[in-house]
Amino acid sequence: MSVFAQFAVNGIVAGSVYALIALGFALIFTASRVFHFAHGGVYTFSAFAGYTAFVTFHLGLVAGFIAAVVVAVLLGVLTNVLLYEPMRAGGVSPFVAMISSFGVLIVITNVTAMIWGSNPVVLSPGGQTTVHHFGPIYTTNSQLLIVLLTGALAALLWLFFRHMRLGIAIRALGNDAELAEVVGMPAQLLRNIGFAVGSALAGVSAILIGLNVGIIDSNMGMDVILMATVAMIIGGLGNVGAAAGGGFVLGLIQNLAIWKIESKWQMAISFAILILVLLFRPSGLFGQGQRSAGS
Amino acid sequence: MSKAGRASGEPILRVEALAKSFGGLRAVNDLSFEVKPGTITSLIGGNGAGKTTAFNLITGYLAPDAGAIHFRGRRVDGLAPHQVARAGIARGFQELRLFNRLSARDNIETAVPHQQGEGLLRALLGGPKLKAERAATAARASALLDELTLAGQAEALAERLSYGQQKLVALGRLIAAHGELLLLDEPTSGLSPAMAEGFGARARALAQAGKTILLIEHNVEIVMRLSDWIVVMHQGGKIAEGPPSTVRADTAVMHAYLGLS
Amino acid sequence: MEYFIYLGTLISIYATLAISLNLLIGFTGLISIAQAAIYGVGAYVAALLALNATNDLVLSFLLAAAVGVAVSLVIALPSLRLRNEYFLIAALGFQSIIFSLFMNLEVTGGASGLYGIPHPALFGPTLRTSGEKFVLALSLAAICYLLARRITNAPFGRLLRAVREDDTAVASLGKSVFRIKLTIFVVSAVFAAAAGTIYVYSLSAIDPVAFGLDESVFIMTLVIIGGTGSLNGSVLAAALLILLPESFKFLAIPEAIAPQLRQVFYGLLLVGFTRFRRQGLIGEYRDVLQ
Repeated sequence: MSVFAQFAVNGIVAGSVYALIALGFALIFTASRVFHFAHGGVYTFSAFAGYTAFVTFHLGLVAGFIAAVVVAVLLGVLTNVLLYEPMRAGGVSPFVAMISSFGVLIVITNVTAMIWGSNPVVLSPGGQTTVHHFGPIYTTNSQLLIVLLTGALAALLWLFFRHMRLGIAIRALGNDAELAEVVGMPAQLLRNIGFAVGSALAGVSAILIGLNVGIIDSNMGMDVILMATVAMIIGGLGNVGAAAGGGFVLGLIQNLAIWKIESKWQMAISFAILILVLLFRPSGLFGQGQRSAGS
Repeated sequence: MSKAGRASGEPILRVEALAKSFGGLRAVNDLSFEVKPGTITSLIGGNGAGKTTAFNLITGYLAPDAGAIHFRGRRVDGLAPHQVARAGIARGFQELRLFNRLSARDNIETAVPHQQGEGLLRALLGGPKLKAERAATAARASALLDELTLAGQAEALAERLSYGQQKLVALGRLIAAHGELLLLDEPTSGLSPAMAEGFGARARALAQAGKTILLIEHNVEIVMRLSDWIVVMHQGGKIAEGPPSTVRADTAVMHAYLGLS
Repeated sequence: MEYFIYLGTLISIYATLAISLNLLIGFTGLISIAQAAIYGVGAYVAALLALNATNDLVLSFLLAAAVGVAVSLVIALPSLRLRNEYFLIAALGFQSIIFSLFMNLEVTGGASGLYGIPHPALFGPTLRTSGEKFVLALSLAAICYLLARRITNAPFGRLLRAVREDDTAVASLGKSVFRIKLTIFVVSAVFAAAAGTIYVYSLSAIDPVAFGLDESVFIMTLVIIGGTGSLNGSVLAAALLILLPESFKFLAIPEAIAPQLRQVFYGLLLVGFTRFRRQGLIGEYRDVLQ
């Protein structure tokens, strides 16, 4: 029983990690309707920016976070302004933008590897920090922080999108960009805000997760963005909260899979769930069915 | 259509107690009507009356919640769209749905049924059989293009044609598809009065040649002049039907057209 | 000389792969990102066959194609009902699952892959030299090109393009869109699996990393840059994208970052072309991708 509990806790922690990233990814998707796969690149690069400030130049952890967030926001907004917005203005579908996003992901990932090497790099020299015991269950400071932060952010974003004018405006924009422009919303500005906040989230999570795991490497973004996609689809595309929910479900499933089956299959199982959801419940587990995958 | 069938007045299409709801909305509600072969029947009614939904149900794009659809005596509700088309119902779309980046000729040649060259095997094997078939298809398309006064635009991409020409290509596709029953959705919308006239003449000619036409149309004049029979829909159901003279005099129809529910 | 043979072989394989994906993306409008998985399936089947039973080339092709087609159908059958982005995401899912299988199954050698694969035998004599294998690769590419040309010039090709334009309208003309899409999936899989067979016999080894998502994106890049709907474009793109990074060698770029620089190059091309020239080098229509 306690083994199960430990796996469940690990699942919640892993789920929080996915939810945290899915939140940013979903926020961007809500605002722009683009699957911004380059988000994985933003995540990776900002982690290394934080590493540079925190480890290379010994400027302290806060500087690390700031560096990560600033770099992330810059990358995210630039990608939108230089790539997606012109494509949108030219009448190109979000689908083609998604393909170009793959290109950006590949460029950023490999530039990161060129600068810092493709081997993992230690972010948290002290390794895991304080370990807490809750009965037979282990957890660390950073893990607790991740779970709490994710919960807080998810709640904040839910409030934002439901009850704050800016949030409602961004949602409306995502649902019907043409109409929103007709009504006078500064569409591009709102989308850029979406990209900025979403990317900032990526920067924060990159450092947090890097601290939790201890190391970072140039491929982390690629893996993470695939999982974020799975989380978003499992949860449901309509809203950010659903994406976070999808992240939690994914974390739990993966850890239960590790418990029962070998850990090497967790990716394959995650993608199998993705496909099953796409086929049988396209609106996602928590979605409202407004934007579903089926034809 | 066998001679016996036509002589006995067997309907080529029989729609029976058709119903379809979307969520709480009853788009089609206990709709029943018949279409006689070789005639031009018009389906009219205000916006939201359920006409296009009826078309979608007849052609298999939607599955009915209740009711049946008989075509030439055979049940076709429940069939997939391409199967319904194969059975002999050629369906046109309000939004045309042309193959935009294909030429006018290619649009029409694609519609010609029973082409072995459209199967992988024949495409790979090639040979004189394929050549002969392609020549025959091309000849049919050329004849049709001539008839539709599109000969000069045969190689032009469909998306480059004028709206009127595009509508002709759409009609050409339906004719090439050799359906016995042609379903046309707003065939004269966006056309000048002269072109609408031209359409009317073509429709008449098709009917003379034995085709049956069921059309959704808002142009009252065309409807009255062209139709052998009119079915009036309102809020998903049929409120009147009959030859133009009858329908014109029917006050319920007037109400429907004035938008009073 | 060896160097040019090696490049030629690589170009031939990628030209074949690009053609196989172009049939899906450019002609039919099915944007699949799982092509590397099919390529890999063909490679592993040929490798396992050669290691355990026979190195006969014809049998290798046949079995690789058969399994490749089967896997392709497993992907296609459920995914065909999804539209656009979601079809691609499903394909992404399948690509990842299959890649995971390559990396984690015992029989495929796991992350280290397979090695020591014998030379192929064609109707008897064994092809040992790289020169002979290059001729093999080139012949396959030529055959695939000619077959693809034949198919796309026939009424079948016109029907594919019609499906790409508006599959609802195709159905309304009495033609089964499902059958058409399945058929082209099968053809595409045969070509991709055949390319995998050549890959295996040329390298005599398999590294599973060669069949991951990056590779699928690369093949898609080839199709887009060459021009969706243009077979010649696919061949041209394969040649350009293999040859151009080779010129980096003459720019004194440190070995350590050469592979990454190459990827950056491909990524930039993909971004550049999707942003500025969606019709690719030789393609006709700007917007085939949508």
